[in-house]
Amino acid sequence: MFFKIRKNQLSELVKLSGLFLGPGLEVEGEITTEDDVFVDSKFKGQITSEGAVELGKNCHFSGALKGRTIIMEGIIKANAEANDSIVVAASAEFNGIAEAKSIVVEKGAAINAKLNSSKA
Amino acid sequence: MYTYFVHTNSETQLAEPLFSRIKLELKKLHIEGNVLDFENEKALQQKLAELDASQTNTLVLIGNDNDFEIFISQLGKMKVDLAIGFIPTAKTSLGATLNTKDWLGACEALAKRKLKEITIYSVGNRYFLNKLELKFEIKTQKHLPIEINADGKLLIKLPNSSLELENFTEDQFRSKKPLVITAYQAPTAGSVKNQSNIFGLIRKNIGQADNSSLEEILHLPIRAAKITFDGIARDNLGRSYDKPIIIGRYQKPIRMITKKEQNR
Repeated sequence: MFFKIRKNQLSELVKLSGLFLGPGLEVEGEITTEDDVFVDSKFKGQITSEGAVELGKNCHFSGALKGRTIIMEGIIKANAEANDSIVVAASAEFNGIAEAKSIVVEKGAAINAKLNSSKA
Repeated sequence: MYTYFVHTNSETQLAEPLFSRIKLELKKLHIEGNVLDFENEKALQQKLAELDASQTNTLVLIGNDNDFEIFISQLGKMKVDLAIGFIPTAKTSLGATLNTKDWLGACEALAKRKLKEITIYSVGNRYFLNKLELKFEIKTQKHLPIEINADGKLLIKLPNSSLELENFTEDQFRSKKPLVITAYQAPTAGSVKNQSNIFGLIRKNIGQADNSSLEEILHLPIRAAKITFDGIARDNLGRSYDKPIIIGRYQKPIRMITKKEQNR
């Protein structure tokens, strides 16, 4: 049997979730999208989004990130550029360069990066 | 001139009393025509090949969603540009899309003949309209037996999963958006669960899925994809694929009869 999810739920999910790459996947390449992106997998490459980019706790990311906001929770090695804000969560390990109007590094985050934030 | 098609091996058999009522209604509306039966895709292919395009301008499928998917899978191969209609014999998602939820409404819509362009998708040399489900019977026990090359840019290695491709746009007739490819996997003991805060919140908001034993692991809009695997894939119509599967949008939309006006 195939997994069935109610049609209206799935439509809602699409509307709300945008693009989702879950744990267990290995992804290599380039994503350019208008939608929000949630990555909880291994990813090597480039993500460019007009919305939010969230890298979950299971995410191992290596490459370049561009988004309106970027939330890092996993292990990330990246050049990250956000129009609004970048959040490095307590669970994150971040190596690289971060550039945004506002950058928040939560207590407990492991960080070895160049941070560049400027007022609008 | 309308030509009607009935799938004789349909899951929802067309009962004779209902068929008689449909035929009577079509006659009343002056859109009666030849009725051609087909028992499988091959027979349908033969019937369509034999069809005299100068004698018909509209092909109508009487049946359910699956019957229509079979119909469309062969229709995509036709060179002629005929209008397509659908008369549902059960509750169907296509009927809801076309705003012709029952056979009576569908007959009336056929008579009024309002046409809309609708996007169809190709999978190999077959076609589908709404949804394609793929399940894989993998020969080897490699950790990542399925690879998807989406839009030529992304290489995604999947654990053993089932895939679903669906057009999710609210109005299918304005569909310029790509298909969404969704992968489901049965979580193994000790497997890493999705821990995304936002996604968790979404799941909480929309409630649990009907079958929570499978977990969504990929949700990705695509324009085209090549799926490579080591084994056999089967779709929701029981067709098997033993070669890499190429998925994309069909080169031109089909014209369907609907109750709704064409969106501008």
